[in-house]
Amino acid sequence: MSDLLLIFISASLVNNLVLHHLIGVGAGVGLSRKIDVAAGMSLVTAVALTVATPVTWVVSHAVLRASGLAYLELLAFVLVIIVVVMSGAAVLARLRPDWHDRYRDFVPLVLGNSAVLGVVLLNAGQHFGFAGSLFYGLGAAAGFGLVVILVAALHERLLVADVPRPFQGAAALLMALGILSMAFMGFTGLTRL
Amino acid sequence: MTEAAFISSPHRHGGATITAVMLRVALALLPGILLYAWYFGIGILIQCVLAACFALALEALLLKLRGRPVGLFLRDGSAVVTGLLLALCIPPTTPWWMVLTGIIFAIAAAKHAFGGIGYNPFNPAMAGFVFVLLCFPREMNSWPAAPGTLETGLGLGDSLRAIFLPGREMVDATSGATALGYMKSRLGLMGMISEIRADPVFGTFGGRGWEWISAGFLAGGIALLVMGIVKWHIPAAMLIALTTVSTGFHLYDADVYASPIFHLFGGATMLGAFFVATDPVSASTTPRGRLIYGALIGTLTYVIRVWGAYPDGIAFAVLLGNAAAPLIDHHTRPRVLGESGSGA
Repeated sequence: MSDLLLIFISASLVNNLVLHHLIGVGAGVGLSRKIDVAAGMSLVTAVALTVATPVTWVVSHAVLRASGLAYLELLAFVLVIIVVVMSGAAVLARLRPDWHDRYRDFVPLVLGNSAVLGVVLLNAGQHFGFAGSLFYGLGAAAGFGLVVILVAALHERLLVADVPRPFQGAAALLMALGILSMAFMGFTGLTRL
Repeated sequence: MTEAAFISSPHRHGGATITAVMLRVALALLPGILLYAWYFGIGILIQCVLAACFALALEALLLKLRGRPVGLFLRDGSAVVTGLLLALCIPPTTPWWMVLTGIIFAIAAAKHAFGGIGYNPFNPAMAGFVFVLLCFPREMNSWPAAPGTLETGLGLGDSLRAIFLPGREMVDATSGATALGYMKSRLGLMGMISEIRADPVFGTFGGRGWEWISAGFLAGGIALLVMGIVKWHIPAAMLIALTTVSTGFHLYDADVYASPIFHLFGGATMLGAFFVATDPVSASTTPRGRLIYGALIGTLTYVIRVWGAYPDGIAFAVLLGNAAAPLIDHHTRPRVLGESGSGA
């Protein structure tokens, strides 16, 4: 159990997706101008990550590596992500149409989000097992959501700041992300993964 | 905040200008700085002057480049306070060009790139300190040895040589570790706190010498509270959170988790609680938000100190708190009359 907790902390804080691996920076920074939009976006991404990571682990270990087709992993992972996200949206549309309407706009964004494919590939390079993969996906999702929401709140404040012309817009946001990344380095050593 | 409630006129100016506030903050730092110089030599005074001069010069240069009135903004004194806080975080024998690196990052990257005073989302001094800490980890960990153990307290000549002509020969007296750093490395070797505490690097309740410097900052901080410059919420929440968490773990296993007093008076806790976390620009602005913000910093400090790789977590915790402040504000700002309950 404590191993799984360490995987979660490592994926969310120590080796944060956006701040450590620099994956999903565009989605995290570019799309988040409002906190509720950022929250919706990270919620949909979180669900996609949490489901896709263990599913790709099964596909990779039970199907591809068992039959010597490991070189097809990248292609298979992209397909799995598309299937997971689209079927998730379809299930949601059947069960809770009101939720589906609220989150429908985020689905293409998640499909094209490098964060999902990035986490799945990073996980494939580790040896976490099925439960570990589940917690890795969960942790990466939590870390992604945390950064996206923090940056969105920061963005609202930067919009009214007297930022010098060369730094306006994405530049100031990336600078803030850089300092946030420095702050997250304080978590170094919490886990040895 | 754009949605600030408007209170109708007439208003009377409270007389609180930024200059007056910053002057009092600098004065409140004085007891701690003087005790620092008393225990560890004159180096810290040189460091304070150096950092403040660098900060002022850079602030003036950037204001000029941005076409802002130099004299007006320079006189607000915020650059001096940033310089002083940075100088108090780094070892007193840090070479001048590392100080300059920290100041450049603090004033240029963490302050003026976001619009200068009033707009910086992160505390400039802590951003500058973390920058030099990550760039020069070895130098940032060579602290003066504890008073009374070696020949400590470098004189004027040695301090000047260490700061301005580094690299000739490193003086033995500058190769110590702080109490927090020593505690961390010995705990890593499975030492027990009761044994570790016997080392001369420890004083009666914190690091030898450092405990009284912390007490000096506590006194200055209380003076700021009395003068009404700092509201009680952030320091109280931060210190109570740190005390609560450290007491819990100390009661659970006193051999592995140091006492709350040690955490309160070790490292930069007092400096951070009263002078750094309370920076009005980068902190949370609502009363309830300030309590959450302070408690967050206190808890994160403990987490980084005990389980992280760095001996002291104040600077990282403050930056993380700064990052969370806009979000905390968003959820704790008072609802405007007539606004629906769910929209906030």
